[in-house]
Amino acid sequence: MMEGVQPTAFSFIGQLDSNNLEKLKIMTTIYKIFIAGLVLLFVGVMITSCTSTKDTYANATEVEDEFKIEKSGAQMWGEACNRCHLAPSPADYNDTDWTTISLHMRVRANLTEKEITKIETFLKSAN
Amino acid sequence: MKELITIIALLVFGHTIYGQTYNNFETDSITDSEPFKPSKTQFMIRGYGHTGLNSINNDGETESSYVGSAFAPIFLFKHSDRLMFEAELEFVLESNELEVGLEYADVMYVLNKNMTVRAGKFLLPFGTFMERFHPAWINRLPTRPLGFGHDGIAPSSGIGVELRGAFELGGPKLNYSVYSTNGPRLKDGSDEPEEAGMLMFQNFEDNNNSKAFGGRIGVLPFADSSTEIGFSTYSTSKVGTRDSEYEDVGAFLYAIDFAFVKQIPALKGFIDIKGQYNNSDVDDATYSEVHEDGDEEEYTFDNKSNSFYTQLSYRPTMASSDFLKKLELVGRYSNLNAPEGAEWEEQSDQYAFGLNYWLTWRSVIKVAYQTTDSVGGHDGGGTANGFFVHWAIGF
Repeated sequence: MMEGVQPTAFSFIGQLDSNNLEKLKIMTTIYKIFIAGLVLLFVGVMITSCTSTKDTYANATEVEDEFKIEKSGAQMWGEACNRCHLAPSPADYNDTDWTTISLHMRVRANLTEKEITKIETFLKSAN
Repeated sequence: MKELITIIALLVFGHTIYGQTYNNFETDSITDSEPFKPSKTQFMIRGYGHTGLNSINNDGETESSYVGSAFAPIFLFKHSDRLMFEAELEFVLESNELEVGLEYADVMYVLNKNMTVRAGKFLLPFGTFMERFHPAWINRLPTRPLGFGHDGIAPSSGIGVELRGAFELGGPKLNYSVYSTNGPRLKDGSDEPEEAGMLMFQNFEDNNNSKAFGGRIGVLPFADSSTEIGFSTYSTSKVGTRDSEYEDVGAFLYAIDFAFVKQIPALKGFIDIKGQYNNSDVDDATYSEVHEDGDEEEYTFDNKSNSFYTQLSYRPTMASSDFLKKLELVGRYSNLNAPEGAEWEEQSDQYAFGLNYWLTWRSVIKVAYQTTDSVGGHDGGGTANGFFVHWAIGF
């Protein structure tokens, strides 16, 4: 040890040989990568948090959607069927027949899947 | 002894109780009482028929006849929830003969919620009248508007392949159809000189390699689906027979349709307004006309035709009287303009008024009066007035 020189926390560096110095540099690099990772993680968590918050808002909107007044199958039956002919009486066919007729009318009248599904469900429930 | 009697009694009654308990499982009776379980494959016959009385006065000459007894069974074969075969036959008594026609026969498959493919002979979505409203139990009047049916300018069916479907757009809806068929063939006048230049849409075996392409897009702008506006096209580059002088004659047709159906409380009933405009443009060609003296004359004309109809009907479904609820008033105007200079040149206007009584949602008695003023045409023009009483039923 040199006389008159106050030892510092890093004074041991001078005592390291080249091999250990190389190891130290690697450790320092790992440390920097670790810190960078932490920063990235923090930023990521922040972004994810914001996104999650946004999702929550989106969910809230979906919840509101549930309260939208959806058309019933009966209403769609009245609207869609009457576009061409008088709306049929549900009692005139059984469930099996309505399944067949629904597929036929879906294509013939170019109805949407939602329309025909709701109308078919209504007809089967009301016959 | 008492013990022995008790054991015997227990065995006798215990056995009975066990037996009843076993029967209470009701395995057999449940099987017997289960309702019939339908198969996935279903076969169904639907369709419609009509009959009636026609009385037509054509420039002072009256013809009256019971007509119709038309029978149009529709066969539906549902193979699965996506696959179906449908066919409609049409038996009509006309000109003292039984005419049998295959209205359509196609196989359809639902590809996804927005798309279905059809192949075979199908009703063409050229406008809406022929595809949706022409069956007798749906058509509010006993006759078709001018421009449709025999010698009509609008195609009714074709053999080919089609993609169709519909989309939900929030409240509004959109439906579409695109197809390719054999297309029409041109009447060159060799068989029927008076119809030279007309398109014949019954082209079961294509007379050339050019296919017709068409489509329709329909928009229902309001959430209550009360209104629909549609635009259709139908085009082919060749309608003439291969290697004939008419081979390169092309045709372009389009149609615009409109429909409004809504129950209006202020009017205490359903208002139903429909309309369609058809336009046909066939490339000019030169045709031959043989005069009575044997001389042959070549002629050409601007081969453009159009037709239009609009119909208004009213059903007082909210009336207090049950009788009134089943009545329907209907009026229709239609018009046809066939090309000037053609042998089949025609300008016609037609008004029709009717009173319907709906026995059920699919059975109607129609009483109608119709007057047609024509210039030209097959019958040479004039005024034709008709009185019709028809009974149509769907099943």
